[in-house]
Amino acid sequence: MTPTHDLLVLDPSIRDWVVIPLLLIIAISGLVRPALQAVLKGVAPPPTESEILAFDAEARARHVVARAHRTRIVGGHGILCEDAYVGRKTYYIGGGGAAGTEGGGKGLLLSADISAPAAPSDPMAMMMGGGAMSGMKGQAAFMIQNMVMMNGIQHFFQGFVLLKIPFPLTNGFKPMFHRGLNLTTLDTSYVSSLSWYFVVSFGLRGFYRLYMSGWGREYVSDGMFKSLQMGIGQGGGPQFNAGQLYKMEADNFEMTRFRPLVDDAEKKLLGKKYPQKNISVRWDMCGQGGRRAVCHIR
Amino acid sequence: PAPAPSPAVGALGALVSAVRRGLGTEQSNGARLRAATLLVRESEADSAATRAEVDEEYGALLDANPGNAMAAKRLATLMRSAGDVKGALEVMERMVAGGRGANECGCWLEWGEMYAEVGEWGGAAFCLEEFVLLAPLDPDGHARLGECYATASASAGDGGQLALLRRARKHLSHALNLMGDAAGRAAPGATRRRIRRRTSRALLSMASVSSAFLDSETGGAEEQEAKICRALLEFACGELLEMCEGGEFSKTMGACIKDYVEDKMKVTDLL
Repeated sequence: MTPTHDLLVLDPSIRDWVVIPLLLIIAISGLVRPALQAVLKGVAPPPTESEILAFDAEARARHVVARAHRTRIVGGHGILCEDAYVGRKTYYIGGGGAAGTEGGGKGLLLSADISAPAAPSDPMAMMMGGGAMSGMKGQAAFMIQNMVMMNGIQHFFQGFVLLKIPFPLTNGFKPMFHRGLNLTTLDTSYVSSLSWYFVVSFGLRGFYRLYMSGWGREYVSDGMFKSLQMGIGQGGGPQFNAGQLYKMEADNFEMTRFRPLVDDAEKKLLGKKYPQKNISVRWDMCGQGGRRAVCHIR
Repeated sequence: PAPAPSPAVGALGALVSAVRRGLGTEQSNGARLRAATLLVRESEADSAATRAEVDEEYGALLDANPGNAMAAKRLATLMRSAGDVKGALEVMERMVAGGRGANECGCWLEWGEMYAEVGEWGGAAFCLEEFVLLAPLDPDGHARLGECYATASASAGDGGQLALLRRARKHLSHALNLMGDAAGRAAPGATRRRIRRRTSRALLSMASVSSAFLDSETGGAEEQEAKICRALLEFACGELLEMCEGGEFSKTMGACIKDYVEDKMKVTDLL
């Protein structure tokens, strides 16, 4: 049986009563979803003093790590002179000498004052607290809306062929564009109603991101994948461990080798006019009748 | 006398007042609304008393939340413009120690300028080094850092002076390399000429630093270093003269360069 390439004539009413309304419904539902999520999440309680202090401590620790990392990466590549880089390195990881002496002590990253944050005493309470539950409520809005839309489209528009893509596609695109249609001979360029829903809802993500850029990224992130990944025991992400990061950065500092860039800038600037050192070699007699070379640099 | 605020400021002030009236007392005392009100009052402040009130309000915002970077920056700027640079330095130090602003180029640049204003060149050099770490490809940052080292060398001891002048030379050389790379990438014509003109300040600084190195007691004695300084001096002066060639400024530039090269190399080689 020959594939139906150009044998279908689509009724213009499909465009007027299915394609355009579906597009509008999907777009409006995407715009309404963040407001619904905000209502379901509710207003977060004000942070306590200990939470504020913990947040400030974490912010300070993050900045220290960022500065140390920048000093190691950028400064280590020779953007600073070697003695300036060594001074900073000593500040961060110490010079190996006695504490209190110049170049001695442990340095900021290895000092004993920095400690890892205490583990939560009741993990269940942390998980069931405001953070995880409000996230689940927000995802619930997305999931319910998706289920309603998909079931509604399957119920009302099952079997509809809505439009034809103006360029040919391979058979690999059949599962994507022919959802809800069991026509093996239908050309891949035709799009079913359920496929139109998926194409539009994923395709409009960039538009949602632009339109709602002030609402916060959490409202326009891919809620479907988050809901698939979320499971019991999964909280808000790994806890920030300042002590561990400090130690890691200190170890990286030890391993980083300084590469001169600014130190060699004069050579690059002057090029052939850079004055070369005069090297002379003198042979000296040493014991047992041998001789050795001694270089003099002038 | 302070200039009259623009109509836009008046409109903003009216808007902020309307929002405060519409909201309840608790919400109108929120930090953001207070900061917006203070911005409007800053531009309308026409007396020292009003400016002092604004400073006090910013201080209150900072006391309530030491991490309020916006209030810290505005307070530091106002104190600096009023002449209290040391106070502004303390505010900046508290802000950065609290973990705010350490990743901003503008913060380090302003802080470095404040240190330079009060003559603390060590602090200024540190801040400019942090700026250079944040913007390693900015030639102006390296040029400023070089100038800062050169200025700091004037008050350093003999050993420290040479080390600082050496650093200054290296950073100025790197700045000229970056500017040269930018000029080389630009299309020949007005853009390339404009980029080359930016190098004049760095070239003058290079001439000054090389000359100072040769003038120092021990600097002139190190043969290799002296050769490098003479080569850099010849390069900088040659570039400057070529830049001004044929223009009205060429005579002035010639006289200026003669001061740098006098007793250090043959003047006729360049002029």
